[in-house]
Amino acid sequence: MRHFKLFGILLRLSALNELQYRANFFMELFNSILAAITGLAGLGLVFYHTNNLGGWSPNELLVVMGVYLFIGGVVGVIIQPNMALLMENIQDGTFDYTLVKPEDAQFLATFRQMQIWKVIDLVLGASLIIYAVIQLGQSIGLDQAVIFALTLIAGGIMVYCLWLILTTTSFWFVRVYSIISLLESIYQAGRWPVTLYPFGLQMVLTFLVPVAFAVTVPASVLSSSQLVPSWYPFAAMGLAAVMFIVARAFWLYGIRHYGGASA
Amino acid sequence: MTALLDIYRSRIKTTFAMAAQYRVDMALQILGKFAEPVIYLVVWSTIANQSGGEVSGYTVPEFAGYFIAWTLVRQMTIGWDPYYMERRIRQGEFTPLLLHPIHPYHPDTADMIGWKIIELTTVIPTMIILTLLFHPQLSLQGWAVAAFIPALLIAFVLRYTLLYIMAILGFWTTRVTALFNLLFAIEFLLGGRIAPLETLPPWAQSIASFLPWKWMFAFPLELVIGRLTPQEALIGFGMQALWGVLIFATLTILWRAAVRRYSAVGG
Repeated sequence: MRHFKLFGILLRLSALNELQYRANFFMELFNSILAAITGLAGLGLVFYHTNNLGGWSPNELLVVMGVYLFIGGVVGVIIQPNMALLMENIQDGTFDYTLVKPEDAQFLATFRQMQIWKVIDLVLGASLIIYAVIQLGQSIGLDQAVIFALTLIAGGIMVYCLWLILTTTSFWFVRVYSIISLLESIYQAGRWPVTLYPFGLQMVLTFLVPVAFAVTVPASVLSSSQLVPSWYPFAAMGLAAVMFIVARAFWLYGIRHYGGASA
Repeated sequence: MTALLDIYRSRIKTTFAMAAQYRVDMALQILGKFAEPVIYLVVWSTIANQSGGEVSGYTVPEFAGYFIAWTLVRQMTIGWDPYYMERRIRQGEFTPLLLHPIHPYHPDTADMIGWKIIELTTVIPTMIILTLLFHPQLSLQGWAVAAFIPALLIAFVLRYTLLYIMAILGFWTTRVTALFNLLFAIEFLLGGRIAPLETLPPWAQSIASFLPWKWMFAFPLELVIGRLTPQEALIGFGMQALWGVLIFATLTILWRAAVRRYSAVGG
């Protein structure tokens, strides 16, 4: 409960901070809409030639793109800015100030700085999902909706854990940012269902960079056609829990090894 | 002229020394850039397989050839990113550069050429790996491969200079990021990045021919994989020349105006 309250305060603080730069809102709005239009144009080009891509219909692919944008929004609002700040703090030693606060350091490090304007991506992603589901024209049962929400949360958690694990390695290594930018570019593969990729690549996208579980699986839940094996959503939730425990353990281990550059 | 060459030579040497410090970093960054062509290749191969093995005149192995050559052309035509240039202008780093008795365009270009040579050491092994994985089919012709080298060089100079012009706009208005993104989106769709231009609807193909990006990306690429006739190659070089004149004229005019306008604090 206390954590929710703290989250609210941190959120308000971030919002107040960014409200100083209102012009940035329009800039972000323009950029997000442009990115969405470019993505849609790409889909349009694909469906100019065919009416299904590896078993996925146009509307099912729209759901994939919506989920991709949505998870990208979560990364943009919370994960990326905070992990970048954390990395910077570990390097220059100001992480000390976070450690001495009477609150869980991982919690603070995760929610300290949120990029409010990036919420636009969440809204765009969600609208795309809703539009595509209506176009699919099949009724979504309550169980389906719940599983979708849970897999989406699981996807967000997995992406967060991967970022956190990599950022935690900066307790030992200095320049981890290039590994993260490498993962970011691999994440682009999630624009398309991972079932399209050759087997080896699918394994990488499922277990190394969990794009499959973060994007493809939630998107497949909303469709009635059997696009991925039906146990995948549950595997996604299980994997998210495991990854969270691993990331948490690794983080605590990292903190114990943090010497403090400024001390 | 020899003085200029000397400057280019020593700047390129410095770039080598700098790159040698961050080898792993650079290798990772470049590795990341190869995710993009593999994604497109997978998507287009899927479509081709579903439509009887061919889309708009490209078979699956031909798509592989296109996107493997893509990695080379893409990497070789990346210029200074205008966001970086904009920051340089905004933060006054141009002040000392303007005092030098040489146009800042030259040292910048020399640095970029140095990077290109280093990047080739990563691009070529990656192309070999992609070739082993995706079995491309190329119809390499002697004349086309020979013509590819100048075409690629011109493509680099054109795209590089166009980015430079975009960056110079930063002298008038900082925060031109929105404009950059718009231009990048057009380039992405109509320059041959996301797919070979032949897969676009005819109306989009005609628009692409009137824009500069086709001649900075798709043209050298289609040339080397053997999809152009000698006549089409000549037209391509003609278009490159035309855009070259336009782009360099714009650079000259804009630069004069920009320097007159430039006033920075510090630097």
